[in-house]
Formats: sequence, structure tokens, C-alpha cells
Amino acid sequence: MVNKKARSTRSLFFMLALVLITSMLAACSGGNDKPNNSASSATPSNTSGNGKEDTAKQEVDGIDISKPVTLKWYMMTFGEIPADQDRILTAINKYTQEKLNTTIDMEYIDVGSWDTKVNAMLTTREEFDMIFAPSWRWFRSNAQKGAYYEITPDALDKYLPQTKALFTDAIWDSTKVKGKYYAVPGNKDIAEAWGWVWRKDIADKYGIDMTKVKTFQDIEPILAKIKEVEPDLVPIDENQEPLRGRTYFETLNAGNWTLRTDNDSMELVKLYDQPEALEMRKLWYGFYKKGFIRKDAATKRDVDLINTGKVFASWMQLKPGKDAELNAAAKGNPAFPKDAVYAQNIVTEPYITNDAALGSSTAISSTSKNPERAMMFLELYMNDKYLNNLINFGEEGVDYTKVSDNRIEPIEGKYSLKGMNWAYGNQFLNYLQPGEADDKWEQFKAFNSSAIPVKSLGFFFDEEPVRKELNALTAATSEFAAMYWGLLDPDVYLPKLEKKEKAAGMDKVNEEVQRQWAEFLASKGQTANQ
Amino acid sequence: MGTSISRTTNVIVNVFLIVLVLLCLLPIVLVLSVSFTDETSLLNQGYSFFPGKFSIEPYRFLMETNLSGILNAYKITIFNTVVGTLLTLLMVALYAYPLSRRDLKYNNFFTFFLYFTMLFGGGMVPWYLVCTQVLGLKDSIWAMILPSIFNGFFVFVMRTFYKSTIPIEVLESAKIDGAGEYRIFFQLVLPLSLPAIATIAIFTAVGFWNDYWLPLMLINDPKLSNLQYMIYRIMTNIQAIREYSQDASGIATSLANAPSEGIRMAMAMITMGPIVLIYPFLQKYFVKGLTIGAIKG
Repeated sequence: MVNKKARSTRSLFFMLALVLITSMLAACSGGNDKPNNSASSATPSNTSGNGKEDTAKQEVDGIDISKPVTLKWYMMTFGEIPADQDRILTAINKYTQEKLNTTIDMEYIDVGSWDTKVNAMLTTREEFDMIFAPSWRWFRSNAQKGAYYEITPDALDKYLPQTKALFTDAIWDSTKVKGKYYAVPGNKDIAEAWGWVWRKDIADKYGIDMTKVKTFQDIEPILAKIKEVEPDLVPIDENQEPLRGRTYFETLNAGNWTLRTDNDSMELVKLYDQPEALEMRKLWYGFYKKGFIRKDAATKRDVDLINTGKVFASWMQLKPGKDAELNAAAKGNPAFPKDAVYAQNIVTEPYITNDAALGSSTAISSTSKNPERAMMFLELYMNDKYLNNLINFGEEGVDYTKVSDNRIEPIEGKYSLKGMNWAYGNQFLNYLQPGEADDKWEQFKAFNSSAIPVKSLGFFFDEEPVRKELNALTAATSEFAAMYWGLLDPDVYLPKLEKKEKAAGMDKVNEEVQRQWAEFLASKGQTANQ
Repeated sequence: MGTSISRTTNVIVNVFLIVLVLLCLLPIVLVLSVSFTDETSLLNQGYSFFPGKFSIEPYRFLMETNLSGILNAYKITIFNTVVGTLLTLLMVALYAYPLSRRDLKYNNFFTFFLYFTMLFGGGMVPWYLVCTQVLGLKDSIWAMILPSIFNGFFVFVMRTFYKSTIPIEVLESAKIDGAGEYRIFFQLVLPLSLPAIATIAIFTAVGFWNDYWLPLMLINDPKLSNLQYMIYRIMTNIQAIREYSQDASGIATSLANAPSEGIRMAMAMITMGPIVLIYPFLQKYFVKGLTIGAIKG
């Protein structure tokens, strides 16, 4: 009996052990799965890497590349990854293998999952080589935390000479974090300008001349007419705060402060104290009352009206050929009317902001084992026309047909990064698409070079000292965001907003901005009243 | 009929339950209705319980453009749900059974070992480190199964069930008849504990079916995306693009490729799928499993 009991206890132990062992085995099999998976997805890279080793180049411009390298590259995607992505990656790898003895392991992360995934990767110091690192996704704070590899001026000259020449010194300076370079900027519409986009077919139908319209005051009578004759259209819709665009003020993203753009003064002024700001709020409240904007403007979460052709006019950030881009992008939308066409008119003068060159920049990870090779790849990526167009539009004859030297006709349903081209390196190398002007890239270059730097170029408000107050402010004032869109009466809600802001610590934030601003001016040897 | 409740109580309870059922059902009906509404009338009139203009366009569009993606996501979800639920049941049943036996040496230690994990966790970062760098789960189908196949709470439910409903005499008689521990467990204990197993199966199956968090953390490969993560990606991508378009020029053009309202609602309907059918099938066990454990526990 004792014996029997001992045996049964042993059996019970064994059962527990079975649980633990199963879990470990399962875990191991999971572990083994991983290399297999990545091997199969990167088969071309591995096989071609081994097969071509004898014939591969040993040297490029005096830099030793005899060691085959695979670079892991995290890129952002804004929707479904185009079909045939594997085929394109194979072609890319064939090319980079020949040129640099390097293959690319490209992984896409959705824009919506980006922060969660990338934060986890960076926090745990995961090993990878390159990552999409735009200013609007924590480039500066990640760089300060040491997530990115520093590109020294020497390395810039040695590995990225052509890329260096793509941008002016002022632009390179604007990408610095604490005096150091951490990213290769994207080359696109670096300058920023604002203006009107409108439904040209509707304007023509009723003889409306939108090119004369400059301000929101100018457009009011036109909106009234549209409301009357085209009741199905939303007369005006904004994605962004109507005060954007440097018409009266320069956005600082720092407390209530702003700079006036109609004088040379470097003195910060409070946005609410400026008559133009109040006027704009009142104007939009009037738009709302008259039914010129959609009633759910504050909570709308659905696809942009502009892509379904349901809006007449919009004030937005523009660049040469933006209207053609909008038309091409909207054509794919089933709800977009067949005969709808957008036209544009740039109203403000182009200007260069701090984030100008960092809209689509790429950084090298500080965990990369091969930062030199990554820099060499980026040099190729930024300057090689074949590689650029392969990534953007796929292979000639399969994904597109060439109409002329620099113009292509995409084949329906095949690989294309339609609507995402701006995110991939040097857009000036892109082939021209149907509907785009012959001199599109010349226009871009002229647009960029005509731009004036903003008055605050080089100033970044470091939010760290007032993080607590800023969080409180965001929480306390979110309900007032509807005022931007005209849904709230500014006479009633503006005082309320200011009261709430004061309670949440706006004064402290404002002081901190003033302090940092004074420091910034001192570093430039200026005073506020200069 | 002496135990019947009074008329007023009956009415109150019924009204309360009807309201509760409506609160649960109406959103689903609304989503269903929106998914069948014509896009133009949706933009002009907003959501409505009755489609202004009936249209099957969203479903047709999904079937034409994304059928393979949806089928693949279904495959992944079904695999995760079936394999994950089976593994969870095996793990939970195997761990709970020894704990239910008083003759297990170090019973207290193993119970505490389990209890401890219910109270304290390592936190997100260590968890992520273990999953990606120790277990190599990143971009593997097991990433959506292994991290959640063990659950301390279910083990306690299971243990209580074994203790309270399986008489020790049954086990002893089996032993006298010459059955070994494995035979006893698989041929006696498991069949007897079907109600508890069914209860846990419902919870875990629904959990696996609805999981989007594990793929969000560990899956990049769209081919490994399950249904819920697929819809999560579509929704959050649109949201993120809208939000970031304040700062990133150009990003708004990507919205053109985003699916319309109706298509997203149709997606939601499609992903709900067969999991709603699981309840009716397992319901009889469900009630039994809960009450038996509770009364005698």
C-alpha cells in the first residue's frame, strides 16, 4: 500500500513535469520556427548570396565589401502591402547583391501599429539595421535616447557623398539633434506652402473663379452659392486647423505662443491675443451655422471627403502637382465621381520649417552590426534611379510600360506604391505618372529653392521639463478641439478654454517656452525686439 | 410552485434583461445595416438602422479585392483557436488534476507557484524580450498561441471542479481494478469533467478568436495576420493617417487607398463569423459547469 502510494505520487509528479516539458518543447519549436520562416521569406537573398560569392565585387570606391551582408529594414506602410512584394524584393536583392554584396530583408509595419511595435523593438534593443524615422514619429526623442546610429561628418563624406550634395547645409543643419546627424533626409517637397484645392468641374459649371480666392473671407460667398446649387456637396472641409499655413502666424508647437509673420520681430505673442485668430474662429462658427461644413466635423473618423469627391474646396498644404496626385489617388475610390477633377492654387509663399527635411527620413539603428554597409545602401537608395523606380513602381514590362524616357504607364492591378512614393527616399528620381507635368521635378526643385526659412528655424521646444503640465493640458482641453472646426461659439468657449488651460498649468508651460526661446535667441546673438 | 417569484419582480427582471439584450444586440444590427447601406446615402444621412439605399457593394468589393487575404486570415484564426484551445485545455487539465489530489507531495508549493503568477507579472518589456529573444516567437504562428495557453485562474476553476465533483472513491476503485494514473486521468477524470472543460473551452476559444494584441506585439508578416488583427490594422491605419496628416504632408494621399465606411463594417461582420455559433452548442455545458463548481465548491 505504501509502495503503491509512492508510485502514484511519482506519477502525479510526472504529470506536472509533462506540463512543464510540453511548454518548453512548444517554446523551442516556436524558436526553431523563426529562422526557418525568415529563411524561406529571404530565400533569394541567401541562395544568391552563397552562389555569387566568388563573383561578387570585393570593393566599392575603395571600401571593402567582401563580406556578404543582409540588412534588416523596417518600413512603414499605410495600408495593404501591394501584391507581388516578394517578387520586387527578389529583384531589389539581385541588384544590391551585384552592387554592394548586400541583400535587404524588408519588413513592413502598419502606420497604426507603428508606435506599439517600434517602441517595443527600440526598448528591448532589438537588432536591425535601418528604420523609417520621420520627425512626426518621435525621431528627435528616439535620437536623444540613443536609438539611432550617429552619422558623423566624416562618414557622411566617405559613405554618403552624393546624398550630402542633394541637400543644402541649412537643411542638413535642420536635421541635427543636439548637434549631430542621425538620419538621411527624404528628398521631396521640402518646402511647405498652403493654398486652395477645389472641384474644378463644379467651379467651371457655375463659372466660379477660384484662382482669385486668397482667404477664408474671400471664399465665403462662393461657399454660399455651392450650398445652394450643389446641396449634395460639403462646401468646405478641413483636415487641419484653418490657421495653419503661415498666413498670419508661425506654428511653434509650444504653449500658446506664436510668431507673427507680417513683421520681423522675434517676440513671441499669445495666439488668443491676436485679432486674426479670434476672427478666424468666428468665421468658422459662422460657416458651421450656415451649414458650410459637415455637422460631425469634430468626431468624423471616416475616410477623407476629398478622396470621395464629396467636398467642394479645402485649404491644405500644397506642392506643385498636388492636384494631379489627389486626382490619381481618388480615381481608385469607388465613390469618387467619374467626371470629378481637382485643381489647386498655391496662395502662401513657400517656406522651410524645422521638420521640412525629416518628413520621410531614414535612420540607421544603433544596434546595427553593419552601419557602414547600411550607409552605402542608403547612398544607393537615394541616388540610383533604377533602384528607386524598382522599389516604387516595380519591373518594366511587368508592372508598367515605358511611354518615354522618363514617363511610365502603370499596368492595372500590378505592383505599385501608389500614394506612398513620398515616403521612399529621393522622390526626384521617380518616373512620371500619367497626368503629371513633364517638368514636375523641375517645379519641385524651383519650389524648394524659392522657399524662405521660417523665423524659428532651429528652435525645438524641449517638452521634457513640463511634460506633466502638457499631459494635463491635453486632457483638459481636448473637448475644445471642436472650436477649430467652428462647432463652438468662440465668444462663449474661448474664455472657458483659457480658464481650463490656466488651471492645468499653462502658465508654467508658457514660462518654459519663454525661457527656452530666450536661450535660443541668445545662441543666435539676437534679441526679441530685433 | 411555492418558490415562484412575484409578478412585479418578474416584470422588473424581464424588462431589465430585455434592455440588456437590446444594448448588446443593437450595435451589431447597426453595423450590419451600415454594411448594407449605399456609400453615398451613408455620407449624406449618416448611420441608420434601416439602410437608406440598399447595397451589397461593400461585400462584393471585399470578395473581389481581398478574398484571399480574408480566407488566409480565417485560416490563421481557426488554427489559432483550435490548436490554442486544445493546448490550453490540456495544460490546464494536466496542471489542475494533481493539485486536486490531497496525496500530492509539495501540493502547497505548486499551488503557490501558480498563484504567484496570477498576482505578479514581469511587465511588458521583459515579456517582450522573452518572447522575441529567448523563445524567438516573432513572426511565428506560435506567437499567437503559446503566450496564452496557460491561465492560473482556469487551473483553479478546474481544480475546484475535480475536487468537488469527482469522488475520491471512484478513483480508488479504478486503482483497485488496476488502472494506472494515466488511464484514470484520461478515461475517468477527463470525461467526468466535461462541463468544466466546456466552460473553459468557451472562454479560451473566444479569447483566441478575438485576440489582436499578440499579433500586434509579435507579428509583422501580413500573411500571419489573423482576422481581428486584420480589422484592427485597417481601423488604426485610417485613424493614424488622419492624426498624423497634421504633421506629415503627403500621408493624407494614402487615405485614398483606405476602405470606405461600409467596407469596414462589412469586414467587421465577416470577422464575427462562426464564433457566435460556439455559444449555442456549448451553452448547456456552460451553465452546468458554472453552477456545479459553485454549489459544491
